[in-house]
Amino acid sequence: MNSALKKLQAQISRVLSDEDMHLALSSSLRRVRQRMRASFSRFHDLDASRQKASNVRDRTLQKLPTLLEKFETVLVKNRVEVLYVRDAIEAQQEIVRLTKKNAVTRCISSKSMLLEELQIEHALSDSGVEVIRTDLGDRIVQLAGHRPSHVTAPCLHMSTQQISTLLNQRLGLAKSNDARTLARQLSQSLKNAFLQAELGLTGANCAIAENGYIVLIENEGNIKTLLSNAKILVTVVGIEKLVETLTDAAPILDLLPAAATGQNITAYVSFLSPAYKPSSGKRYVMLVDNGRTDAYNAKYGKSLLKCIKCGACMNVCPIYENISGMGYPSRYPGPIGILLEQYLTRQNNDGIEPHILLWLCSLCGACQEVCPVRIRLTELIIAHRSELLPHHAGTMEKMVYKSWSSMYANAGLYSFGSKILHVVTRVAPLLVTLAQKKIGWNTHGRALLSPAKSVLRKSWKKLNKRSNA
Amino acid sequence: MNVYLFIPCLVNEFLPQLGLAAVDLLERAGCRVIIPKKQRCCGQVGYNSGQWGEAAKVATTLIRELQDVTNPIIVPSASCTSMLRDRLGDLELADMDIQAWNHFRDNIFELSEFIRVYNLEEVIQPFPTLNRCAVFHASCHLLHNTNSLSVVHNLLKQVPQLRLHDEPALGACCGFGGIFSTKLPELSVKMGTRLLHRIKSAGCDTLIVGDVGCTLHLHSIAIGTGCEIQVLHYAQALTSRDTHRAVP
Repeated sequence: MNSALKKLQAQISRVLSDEDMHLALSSSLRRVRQRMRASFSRFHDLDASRQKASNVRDRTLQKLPTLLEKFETVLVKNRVEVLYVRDAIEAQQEIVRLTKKNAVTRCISSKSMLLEELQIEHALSDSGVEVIRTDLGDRIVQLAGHRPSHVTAPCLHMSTQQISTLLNQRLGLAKSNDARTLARQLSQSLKNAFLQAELGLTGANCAIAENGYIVLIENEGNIKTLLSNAKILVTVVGIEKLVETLTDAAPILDLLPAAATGQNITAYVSFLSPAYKPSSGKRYVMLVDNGRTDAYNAKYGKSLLKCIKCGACMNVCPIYENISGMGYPSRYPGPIGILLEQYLTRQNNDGIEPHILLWLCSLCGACQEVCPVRIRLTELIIAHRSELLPHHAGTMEKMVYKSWSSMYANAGLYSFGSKILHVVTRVAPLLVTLAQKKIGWNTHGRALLSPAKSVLRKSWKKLNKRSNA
Repeated sequence: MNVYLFIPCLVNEFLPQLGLAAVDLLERAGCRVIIPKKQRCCGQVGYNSGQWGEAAKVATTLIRELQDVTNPIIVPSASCTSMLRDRLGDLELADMDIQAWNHFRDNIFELSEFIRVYNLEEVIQPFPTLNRCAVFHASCHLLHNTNSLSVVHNLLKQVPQLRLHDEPALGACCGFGGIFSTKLPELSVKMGTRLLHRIKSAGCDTLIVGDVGCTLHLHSIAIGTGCEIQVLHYAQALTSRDTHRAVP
């Protein structure tokens, strides 16, 4: 068997054995889904709103090259330095260079999946710069040494009890079964980090081309505090986050909180003007490609860039519910994650080629039904399979599909094959058992499929019904 | 009315009872059932695995077999229905085959869709008794690709002595997913096992599902793990064909 598939199976196997995690995740997801549905039901015409958001995303992506130029011009005019980075390596080098140049030793960051994608924190730690995450969930996974398991709820896979033990061990906080108490304590523990931070790192939910504004939404107030405390400010922005006008940001801000957390609006929405400067006067915006241009130019890739990273697709995904973000070897979890991974520039070779991840989907269709910007996720997963898997199929696999199509394209061959199957089942049942084991059916406690003694077509004939077509 | 009953591959080979249950329902509705002699696979296996070239060969054969059909084509599987009705156009097919497909695709109905569209809810009753406590699990394609989920639910409510447990949280995939079930078998089986456990802890003895693959997958897990849950397709629950083994 393909060794990448084996590695993927091994990673999943480790997560599947953790029943406690599954229970914690399952009940969190149930609540998240209920909140999302309640929030969606408050829309006057949800489908119209989704279509509008989808159209805006389509339109802005169409104009992306022009929008990037516009955005840059406005920022430069306002003395914000713009850095274009091609991939994670360049992004890391730029950040490390900035910290060296400004003698920075302490950073704080807000929650950003792009920072995670680029492994910025890793590069900074390696160069001796301390990074403290200021979003509580993000801080928890940082202390636990986990990757965020969800795009908007990083510690969704952990139970309150686990978090309590972790915070007690790592920060000496008093144990509690009450999530609010833990949150309050953790929040207080971040006070010094805010005060001492020399450089603040944030992502962006939207970047507005016409006026150079950056939009950030959050619930904890940590971004707001970060913006007013950091002496130097660096914002990382994926190039797909550009929209043309402030009005274009509205449908996104309308749907993102509803889809992500079931809120009408988040507690804080920051509109960061290009004129804003932190106390040192130094402000940087890093525009990141890291494979996005490849997606943009690919047959099935462009619409993936419409994604607003709300996490709704993973909230409803049955695979995600069973393996959590920890089961995905991709940089983003869930249906959107396995698709984006096909294009994001590969950094380290862990032996799991991206196309293998396309199997992390049972094609149930729940994600594409819920996606607020109407990305046809399930269909895109199948389309990517058609684009990539035939090239990667082994000789055996190719032969299986070839025989399948020959058999079903030829009535004579089919009934011959069907007869053979039944003869083999009767005279050499062990062969059937082994064959099914080989393809992976009767494993892990799933019983053998035994062909019916008489196939339906035969029974039908016996019943003397007319069967002429 | 003459109707064509499309026989999904898995039904023909492994679940003939399910096909016969569909025949029963259609005959109760006064239909004369015809099973197209040479009808084969809809191509879903190849399509879903990305083998569109091979799927196109299979689909072409099928389209040519069905091209002259003007009667309703009833499919007792929501995923085959979706493939036949919505997805064949993604494949590279000859123009004449696409035309032929467009000619009959509107006649394709998933079994419960047919019941709904032709208002057959009343005529197919009364249903035989089924003395069981069951959860109805909305199979993914029935949920997302047809709009007859509530029809099935309402019909099941009419089955004498069937106690339907209200488990609204059970909307999630059972873990079959076609080739997915063999590529990542541990995950696939775990998803099914977790679902069956929830049925068990709800105090039920039967799981009624809406598609063929789910029936096979969950039935095999129930047998393999010794979990005493009977898994039935809704067509079986509405007729007396509530076992998988017996042959006529």
